[in-house]
Amino acid sequence: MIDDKRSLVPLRVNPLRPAHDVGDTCEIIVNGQKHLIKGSSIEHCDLVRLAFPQMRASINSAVTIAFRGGPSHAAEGLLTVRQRTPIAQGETFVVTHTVAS
Amino acid sequence: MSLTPSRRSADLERLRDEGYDVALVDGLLVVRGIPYVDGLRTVKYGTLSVRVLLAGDVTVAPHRHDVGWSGSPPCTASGEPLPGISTGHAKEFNGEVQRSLCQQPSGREFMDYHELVTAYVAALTGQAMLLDPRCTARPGGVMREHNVASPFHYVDTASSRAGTERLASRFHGQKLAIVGLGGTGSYVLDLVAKTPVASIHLFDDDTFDQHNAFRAPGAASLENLRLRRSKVDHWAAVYSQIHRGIVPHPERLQRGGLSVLDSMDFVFLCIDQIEPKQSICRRLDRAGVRFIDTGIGLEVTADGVFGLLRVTTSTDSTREAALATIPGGSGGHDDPYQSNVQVADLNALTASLAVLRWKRLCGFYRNGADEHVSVFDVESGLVHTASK
Repeated sequence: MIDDKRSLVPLRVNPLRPAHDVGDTCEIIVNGQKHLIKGSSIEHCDLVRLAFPQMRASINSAVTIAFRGGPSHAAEGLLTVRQRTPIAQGETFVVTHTVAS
Repeated sequence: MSLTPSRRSADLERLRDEGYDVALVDGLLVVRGIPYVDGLRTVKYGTLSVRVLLAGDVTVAPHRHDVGWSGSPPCTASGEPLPGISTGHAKEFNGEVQRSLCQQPSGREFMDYHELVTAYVAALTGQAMLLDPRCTARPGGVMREHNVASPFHYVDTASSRAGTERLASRFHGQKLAIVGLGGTGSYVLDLVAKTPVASIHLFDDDTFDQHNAFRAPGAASLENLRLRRSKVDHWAAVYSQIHRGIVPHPERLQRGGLSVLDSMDFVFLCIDQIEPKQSICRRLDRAGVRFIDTGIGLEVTADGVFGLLRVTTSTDSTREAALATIPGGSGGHDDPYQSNVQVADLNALTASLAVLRWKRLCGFYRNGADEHVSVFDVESGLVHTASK
């Protein structure tokens, strides 16, 4: 049965999370897998390594990354090659090769 | 449009035979040179635009009794507002002022377009003839075929019903290419074939196989699958039923043979091989051809499919930023992690995002951003965009 009260919650509620303190570890989710990260930010190539550990660095450019649930000043968006984004506890990253058609 | 619809529709034929200056333009019946009286009691000439409903190439009874009017608010011979006709607010479009007129003299919808047009002419021109008995709405013209060069085999009545036919004219004359006629490319074709572009060139060297039928628009028959035609020939046969400008090229575009793209106005790249994609992107950049590259990246897990759909737009102002988001656009090769998971609805959504972006560039949709990439996240339903 549908919970009427719950169904009234706006779909795009996205609780803003504070940026993590430098030096602390932070749990992020990459393609459904949890990872503990040290530091307050992460770069495109780091996420590619977490998602595809065996991949050669030369094909980093073939990877699209979207994130959500980040800190208030970078809550959601895209990350392209050589870009870095601040991270928050529980932030979700989707890392894929967007090449199929 | 072709000559056929007007000649097979008795009501349109009758209007022509009676000497009205009528033409079918973009799904509208346009009647020019209709005398009327303006607010200064002067006889002027205006144009009626009537949305036409067609069943194939024959008119069906109109469902509406309002019409478009290019002219001032019509008045009586004494300069009063014309009774029985309500006049809508004026709207300007491409320098031409249009308003709507509405009347229903018999209390029912008109039986056909002859009755509709002659009812309006009687109301408008009847007043003008009181001031100038020689004026006439029937100069003895013939049905003018303004749309002889229409790319469609039959009139686009959807645009005229929606009132978007003038905006649709922004696609006129364009030469498009779709490179790759897999899941995404075939849906792109499905959407652009319903726009009045001049031609749509299809490039692919694969055959249309059974698995293709499950991630493509429409439903392929068993007979079609047994033919094992090339994809481009299959799709050309399907979409040539509506659009005259479908041009199949059963070939794989690769280095040395890319000059054919130089003359295109816009290219949709829907291929999954990274190396040819690199060459095509570079060629299009050098030739100054605008293009959209599409890509799907999905993974299957026990919790369901997740992944991203990407649409990258490369124009004169976004070339460099766009290239950085295209797999292999700035180098790189095919990789072992590459996934070929595809689902028809996600192919269709990717194609829709791509065609929507192109339509914004054309000015069909209002363009409020200049993003070079948009990415749909299947898991969250979010669309992320990035601008330079």
